Amino acid sequence: MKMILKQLWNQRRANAWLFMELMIVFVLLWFTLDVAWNYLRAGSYPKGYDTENVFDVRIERNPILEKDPAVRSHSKEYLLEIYRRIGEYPGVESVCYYAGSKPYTDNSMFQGYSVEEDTAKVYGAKIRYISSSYLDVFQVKLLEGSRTGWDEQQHPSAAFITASLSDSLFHGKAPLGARFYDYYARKYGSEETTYRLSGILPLTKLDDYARYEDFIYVPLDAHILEYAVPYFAIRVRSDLVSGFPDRFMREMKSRLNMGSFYLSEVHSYDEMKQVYDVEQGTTVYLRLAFSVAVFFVFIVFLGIMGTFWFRTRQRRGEIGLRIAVGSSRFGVMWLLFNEGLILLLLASIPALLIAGNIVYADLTINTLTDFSAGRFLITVLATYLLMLLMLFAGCCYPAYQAMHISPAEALREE
Amino acid sequence: MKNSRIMNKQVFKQALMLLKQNRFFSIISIGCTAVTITFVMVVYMVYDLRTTDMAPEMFRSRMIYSGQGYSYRTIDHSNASGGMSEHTAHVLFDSLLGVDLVTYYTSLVKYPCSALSDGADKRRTVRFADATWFKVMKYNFISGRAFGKEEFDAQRKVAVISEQTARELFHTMDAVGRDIQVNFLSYRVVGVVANVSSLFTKAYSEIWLPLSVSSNKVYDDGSNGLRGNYLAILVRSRKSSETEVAKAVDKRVNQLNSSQPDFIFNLDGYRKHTQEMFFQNKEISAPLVFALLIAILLIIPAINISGLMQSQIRHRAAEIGVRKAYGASKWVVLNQLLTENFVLTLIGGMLGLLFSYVALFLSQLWLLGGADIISGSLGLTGRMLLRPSVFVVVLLMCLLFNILSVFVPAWLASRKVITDAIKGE
Repeated sequence: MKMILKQLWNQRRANAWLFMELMIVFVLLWFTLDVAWNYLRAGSYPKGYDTENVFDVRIERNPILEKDPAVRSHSKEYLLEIYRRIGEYPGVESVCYYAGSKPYTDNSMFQGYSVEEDTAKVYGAKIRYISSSYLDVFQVKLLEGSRTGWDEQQHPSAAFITASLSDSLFHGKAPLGARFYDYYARKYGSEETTYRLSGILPLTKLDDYARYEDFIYVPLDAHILEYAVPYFAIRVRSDLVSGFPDRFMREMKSRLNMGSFYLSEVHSYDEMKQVYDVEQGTTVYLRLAFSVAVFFVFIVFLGIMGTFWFRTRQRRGEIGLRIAVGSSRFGVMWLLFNEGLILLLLASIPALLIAGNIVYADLTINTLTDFSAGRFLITVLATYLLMLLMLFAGCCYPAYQAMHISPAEALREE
Repeated sequence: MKNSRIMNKQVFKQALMLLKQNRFFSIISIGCTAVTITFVMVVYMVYDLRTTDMAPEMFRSRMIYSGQGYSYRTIDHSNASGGMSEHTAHVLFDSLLGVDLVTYYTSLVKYPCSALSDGADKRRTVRFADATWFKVMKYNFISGRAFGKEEFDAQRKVAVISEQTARELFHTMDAVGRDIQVNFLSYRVVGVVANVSSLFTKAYSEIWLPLSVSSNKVYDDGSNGLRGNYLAILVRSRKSSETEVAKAVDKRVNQLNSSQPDFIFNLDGYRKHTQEMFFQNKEISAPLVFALLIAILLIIPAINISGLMQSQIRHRAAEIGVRKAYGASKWVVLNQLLTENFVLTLIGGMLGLLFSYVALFLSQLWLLGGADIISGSLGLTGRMLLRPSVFVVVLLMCLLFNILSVFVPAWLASRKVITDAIKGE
């Protein structure tokens, strides 16, 4: 160990460059991985509803036919019939319609809620108006409560809310059946909208790369179908998913053509997610972070390989002597690895100090995931791991050469 | 002068010899440079393709984009909703000082489209805009013309379509005078333009229709007539600045709000082209971020090569010593080392440029396809990619990279005392 340090010191000129490079790359690589972590960690948490094998069936209106009052007056019946026919299609496990906040779009709806005990405080939440089968299609697992009576217009209306919204509204845990009301509807609207807490939603977010938010699910009032088109979503049997949109479009186009309504598009939610990620820039940020990480890693690999190659060439005599006096060839290889390893460890000390200061100055990107000691530990370990890998990869060729130095030749050169 | 040219030629020859002799160093150096220039050029080209003035978006450097704005009830800030109506847009942006052109438009929509004769309907991208749109975006008209102000004001149902749309719907490029059905309404085609690359996120569309016939205008009455779906692009004059225009618009917003008490309209910012293209955020300066990224991409590999260079120079200490003993100045030695390495840098740089084109082509959709456009091909053409400015930049980057990676070790070597150098200390 002492000897290696001495060796490193003796070659301080050449080592200074490598030391500087290892230090800077360590910091930048860590930061890049930390940026990726911000997105990937958030993306790994469940959304609160499952969109795998779920398809978005878009029904739209022909504006010309829509002008006819006779056609318009039957909107609700047409939409319910469309809903029934979609559900009958082979492979469709469940179908639902809903309105309000839609995942992977910028269509989100927001409402404020209060309780009678404290009418001054308003708590906002993203809202979804759903038919009860929404829970089947999106496989929402209620933490508490049930959907009994959801589709029968009850007063006060049933509502599922997230636990955090329940906590803010009722200052702690509330029993099922607790009442609250729509703040703005009461203030400006004509009808009073009181809700009855009938279930607790799991943690919910609008998009994979988002933070958890307060959500409320309430029944979609069938009256709305008289003038608005809801979103239709279906869960498809997993073995029939491939090629489903085309098949469905082909076979259902004419069957879903009713009144002014027609089937315009079918997309999987997975596809919508991909499109949305590109639009939001998430795809670019993530791929850019990984490309830059690969760049750093490759440059370090070249740097280590180059430096150690020169080193073995310079120290042929020494290495030859070592082999001549009985050092095993693997021992020689280890010598090089160890030199690199110690250099990396030494360089990582100031690097960690810099990284620590970046964290302390709050310069890390925490838009989706909060900073934590665990996050720091994991990203730093990942950085060490990548740098170590490159160290070994970079040492391989020079070490291989060093192993094959013939002591007689090397010593003669001296 | 002549001497130095002969000298440089010699240096060049020697550099090639050295390249062959130190094969390992050369391979590492060229590889390092190639990877560096690949990344640097991809970053540069992404920025360049998105921001340079290039037909049809000829005024990018002078464009200012309005946000969609939002309005809310004055008393309690409730009823907040996004959007700007036709009326609001005209009040805020018509005939501003320091602005050459103002055009109003809505975001891209997809509608079922067909030629009247056959019923096949495919959804196509449609942009609603006013007549000035065709003065701001310099489309290449293959036949026909743009729709004019009179047609716009008279709410004529006319359309400009792309070459591909014409070919697919009418099986001819000369579709002027034919009727096209867009979202079940019939429009008369007045012009056909060459296909627009979706790289031009604003200019791109397949069909352009007059905003005055847009059925979306029914939303116009929300929040006291403030709300709607209008967006504006201003082209400022060469003499004025963004801040001047922004100030003038702010003044108009204040006037608008004092004229109607119930609701407050907030424009939610205006952006320069670079801000609209990247981050969509006023706080982050895109040129700065890109410059920083390029600097990091250049400096780290430069440290790499510096280290190797120093080891290599140590081997040649004697040679350098002899040169100096025979009267070579510090500068001559420095120049020699820089030129020698520049040969390597150039080889690496050319490889890098080649790789960067390949990389850009393979990842064009996630690198350049943003906003409304995410599928298919961007339709990048050689004319966009092989502009002279790209080659000038790659040369500059190589020069810069060469100086960054050789200067320090070469400087140290050139300062060495002659006797030490020859002794090899």
